[in-house]
Amino acid sequence: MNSPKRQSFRYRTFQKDRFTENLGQTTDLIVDTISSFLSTYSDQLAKIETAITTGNLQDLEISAHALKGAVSNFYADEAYLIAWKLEQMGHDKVTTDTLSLFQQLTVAINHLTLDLRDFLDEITNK
Amino acid sequence: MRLPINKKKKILIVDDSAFDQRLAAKILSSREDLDPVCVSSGDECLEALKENNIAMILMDIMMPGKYGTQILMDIRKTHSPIELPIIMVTAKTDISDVVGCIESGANDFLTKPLNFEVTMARILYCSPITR
Repeated sequence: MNSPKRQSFRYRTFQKDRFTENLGQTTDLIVDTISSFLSTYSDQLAKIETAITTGNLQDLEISAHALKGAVSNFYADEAYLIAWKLEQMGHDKVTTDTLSLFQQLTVAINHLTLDLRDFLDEITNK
Repeated sequence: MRLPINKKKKILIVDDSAFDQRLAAKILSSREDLDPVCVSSGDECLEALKENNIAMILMDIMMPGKYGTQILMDIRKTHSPIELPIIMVTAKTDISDVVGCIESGANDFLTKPLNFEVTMARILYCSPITR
């Protein structure tokens, strides 16, 4: 039986050309950056979730800021915007809807990782 | 012939994000004469300054505990901008952050996402020993 095809976003969740250009089109650096993100993003999301569930708004600001910085490397606008909103909520001590926004962030990051895995496959299988 | 490790210039990367540390270190490693060393906090930064011969610091502004600008001011009490160039790095882009860094004694400023060419150019410009 054939396994279901993995959902593909065809690089719609990040700006491939800006990302690669920013790293000087250096394949080694591009591969390392994607791999590094894929191995750290779940920890970063977990920190944000913990900050929200414990009501630690300073940690929310710092952890959302860190994830925002990471996704900015890929010019992943949707994930960036949501992370920025959570950072601002932490900074402004606003707790309304943080969990809902976190759920949106998780979806955006999951889509981004699928896209990045596809791109990684493409450049490593050349 | 590879440059021996003791001939390389140590560049201290101060960032609480493992991802950002790794990216900055990879960029710096493209030059054979640079040896990136990573720490995660202001306290670790000050300890590293005591123990290692650090030629330059790349420091994130926003970290848990002490902010980068506060650590910068602490370092400037004992190390001048010429003795120890410090480049602040941040995803924040408010003009007040840039001005704040410069007024606190930073030699220069980089915004995330780090651009490979801009990062190398600023490092080379800031430090006469890497020219």
